[in-house]
Amino acid sequence: MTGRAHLARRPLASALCVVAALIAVAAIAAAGRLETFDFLSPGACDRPEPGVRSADFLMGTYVVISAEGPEADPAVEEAMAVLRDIHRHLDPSAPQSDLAALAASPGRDIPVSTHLIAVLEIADDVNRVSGGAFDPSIGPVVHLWGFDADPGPSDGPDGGSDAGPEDGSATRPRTAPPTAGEVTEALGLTGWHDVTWDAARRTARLARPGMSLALGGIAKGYAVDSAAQVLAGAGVDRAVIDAGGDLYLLGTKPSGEPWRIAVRHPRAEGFLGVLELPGGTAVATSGDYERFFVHEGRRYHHILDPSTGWPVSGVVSVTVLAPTAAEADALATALFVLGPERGLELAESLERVEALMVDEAGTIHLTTGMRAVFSPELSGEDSRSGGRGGDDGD
Amino acid sequence: MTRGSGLGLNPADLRLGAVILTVALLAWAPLGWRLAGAPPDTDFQRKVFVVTTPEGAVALPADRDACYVVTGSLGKTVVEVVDGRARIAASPCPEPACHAGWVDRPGERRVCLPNRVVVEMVTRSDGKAAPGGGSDSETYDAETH
Repeated sequence: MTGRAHLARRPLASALCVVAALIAVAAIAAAGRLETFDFLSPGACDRPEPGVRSADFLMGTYVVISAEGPEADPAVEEAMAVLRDIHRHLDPSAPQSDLAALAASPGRDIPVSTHLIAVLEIADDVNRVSGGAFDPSIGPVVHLWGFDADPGPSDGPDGGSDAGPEDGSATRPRTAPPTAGEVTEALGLTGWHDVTWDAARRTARLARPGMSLALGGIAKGYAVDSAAQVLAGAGVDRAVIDAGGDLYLLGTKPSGEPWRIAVRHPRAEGFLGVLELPGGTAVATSGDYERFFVHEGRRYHHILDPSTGWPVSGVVSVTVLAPTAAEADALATALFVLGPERGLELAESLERVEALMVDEAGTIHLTTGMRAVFSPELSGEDSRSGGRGGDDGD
Repeated sequence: MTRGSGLGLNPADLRLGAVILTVALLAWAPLGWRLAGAPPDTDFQRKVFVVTTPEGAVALPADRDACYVVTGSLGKTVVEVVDGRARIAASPCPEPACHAGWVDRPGERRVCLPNRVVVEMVTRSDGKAAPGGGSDSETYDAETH
């Protein structure tokens, strides 16, 4: 009697045996998959992959896009392409950037990208509402201070959310401040009214030789907004676009809970606190802690007052919420320059803009709306820090 | 047939079925233990450190203490993982203060830009990092600085 004949006479028994065997094989396969699950081998996972993540070094910082949705994959790819295009036009390290072309041909209308025109329009708004506290024409002063220096083979250190190189030339980081005379001379080459543009013709002009633009306080934010527009237009469900801490939060989390954004502590390891934010919010922070040098016991950082040409004192960190990252980025710099009192007053006057400012004493100043979304970090190392972890009023 | 069951199974069938079912149950046991015993965030959303360099990205387990040497744009860089935290322990960059500190929560990141080395902790869902994947109070979706 053959096995085949035996099984043929016991159809139910055969079926049970086959089912049991299949269960065993499936169990072994499932357990094995969990054991060997490899983040770098997404192909090993045969379930639908909800998350797409792409990152690159652009705009002088590390840019990360995380997105989710049925069209997330091509949308993220397209968004990264837009970011690279913006980098090519607006990053001072790019040899053919609009900034280099403008600085090289003062007094002439120079064809520029739509990106630069858009950035100039937003910069003009922030310059106006801040009374000149945000002024991208400060390029020559930034160059004098060496905060446009390239420290290595990459695009330069982060923290250039406020100052940035302007003419593509590389300098070295300073170890001592310039003289008062040098600062005054460089200030003579600034002036927002001497920066003009024609949106219809897509041209821009710097009025005088030696002038240059520093877009470090707005270009990253603009790039984040541009990427967000691509993702939203493609129907992506949710995304976080992060350009060195300049953020845009698109959509809502699967849980329906608010996005949780940590705010870096300006003077200690860890975080100052956490922001719980709805989708459609942009966040940007300007701090004095990432680009600076110390000379004779005094810290000289990269956020320069356009009216004096010297690093701003009184504030160490400003975080701004706004409808767009470009606005948040530029306003963070403007509020830093204005100081806690005038800065918070400006933020309170603007629709859908909130601010968190940390002064030199570590005191945290919050706008009314910020109080509702900011929770101080109370645990571990952060509680030891200078920040007072809470609202203490304006 | 007198000793067979009503389903037409003889003792040999029953023995074979018992053996196969036992093997099946034993095979499922570890998986069941995992699903029942593992915390939610380490089940299908596991935390790993991702180190990005000019040569590519690697994933490092958060639960294994070790020092790793990676190559950045400026040279050899040491990434240290201790007690579920990671940091850039040594780097040839000119401003190591820029990336000082530990990464110990999803959403945290340290970037050495001149060296083009990034250390970050991610929460992954179904094998890839997804925005808003974290839901516990220790998880951040991003960091502003």
